[in-house]
Amino acid sequence: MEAMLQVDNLTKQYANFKLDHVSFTIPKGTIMGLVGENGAGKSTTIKAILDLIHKDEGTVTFWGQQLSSSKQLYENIGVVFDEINFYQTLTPLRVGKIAGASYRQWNDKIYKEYLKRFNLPIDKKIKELSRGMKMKLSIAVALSHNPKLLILDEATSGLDPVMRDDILDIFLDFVQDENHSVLMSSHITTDLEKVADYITFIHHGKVAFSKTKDELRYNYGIIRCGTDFFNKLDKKEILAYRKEAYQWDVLVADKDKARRKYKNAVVDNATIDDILVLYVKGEQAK
Amino acid sequence: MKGLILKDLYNLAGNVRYMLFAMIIIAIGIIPSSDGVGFPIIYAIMLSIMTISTFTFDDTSKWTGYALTMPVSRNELVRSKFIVLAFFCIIGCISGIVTDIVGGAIMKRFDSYAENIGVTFLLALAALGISLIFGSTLIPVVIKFGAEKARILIAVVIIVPAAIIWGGITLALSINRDTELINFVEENIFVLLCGLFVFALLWSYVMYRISCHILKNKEF
Repeated sequence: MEAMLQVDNLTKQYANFKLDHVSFTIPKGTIMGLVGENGAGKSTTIKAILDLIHKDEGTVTFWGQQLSSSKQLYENIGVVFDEINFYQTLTPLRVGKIAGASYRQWNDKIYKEYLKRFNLPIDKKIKELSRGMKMKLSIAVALSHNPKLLILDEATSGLDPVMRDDILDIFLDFVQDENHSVLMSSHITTDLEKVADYITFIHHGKVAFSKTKDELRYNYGIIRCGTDFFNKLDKKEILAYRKEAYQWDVLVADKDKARRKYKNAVVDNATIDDILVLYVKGEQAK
Repeated sequence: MKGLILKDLYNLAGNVRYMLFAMIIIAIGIIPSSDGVGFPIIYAIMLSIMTISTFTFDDTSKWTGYALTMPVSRNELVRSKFIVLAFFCIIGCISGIVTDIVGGAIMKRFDSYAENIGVTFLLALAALGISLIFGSTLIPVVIKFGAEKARILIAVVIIVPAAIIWGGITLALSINRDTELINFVEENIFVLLCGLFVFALLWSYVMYRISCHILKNKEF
């Protein structure tokens, strides 16, 4: 599959944090979810991808080219951060004019259509819009210069479920075109369960895994067992484990194999949330 | 870059009426009590400060990081700020000239009108130079420290050099009591003011390069 975005060994050292050799690939026509706990390195990864911070090591290529090599690449990337980046006294009309003067590929007709679709009043100041409407305005701007790749950093956080659902539908619409892709960071894993094709999990600045959502959903499982049973488990099969009040929760990569091998054990399906919690709060098997 | 300039002008649109109000109040206060030839300097410096306000708006909305995801280079981002500065300095000078002329007409200072109008234009040239030096010195400071911290540093950056220059002139005048220096300045005022303007352009270019260097190393 042709890569839209290729991240290789992305490294950035801070005094108290290190983004450590992060690598992943986003194929065409897919949505990649970037998950991880607060402070795991999701936003740092996105900033390094967009050249907003200087990376110490590693390469980032969009369609095989480095971002600094061509201005055209920026035309093809739509970015939405976790809050609107236009000053609060501007109106959607003026935002459109600013973006229109910035992007050669800007399509004012599409922008106006999005404003209409999102019920955004064209002459209302940003400060008078709700958080959801502000995010929709940011998304409208990002979509109106005909981008091929959307990069979203916590774009749905703080929105109510109905609003989130609306926005996720827009992303699903966007990737109907097989030349489009989305990279979205979020700690709302249910959103990613709905739309993502791939999940990249960043933990303590490192990629814990980067897999298809279906692989996680259909293969990963959680063994719920007592201490005696836990002690008998083959530690090589354990990805992470956690002691709960009355049981051990053990994450395994192949739940069918676990069900066959440990017939008396309870092996549940694992949601992305379960996986994330076990990685973050549990311990990794050596 | 057109989008960046448009953004600053739109952002400042809300401040225009306050600035206009302040300019009118100053005019009402000064016109009756003076021969009214200082407005270009006052207005040009006042409006050059508007450029610093654009940084405040940018910081509030975390604009700069976002702008760098657009097809805009870091140098273009700096250049747009200097263009906005030059725009407001010119507007300040023009509105100062107009106020001088209108003020002269209102106060019926027709005797000195012809003389004053020449002085007004000369002062406008000086005003353009001074406001450019003032604004372009502030831009790298604001880029480096952010609009909020830079407010404190404005005093250091502007008032201290201004005080040194003022002190230097006063000292030179006190040493040179035979008015030779004053005569020299009066005789060569046009050349000196043109020189000031050329110096302002060179100074702005140096500040532009410094600003580009600061922004190049900045992370968002």
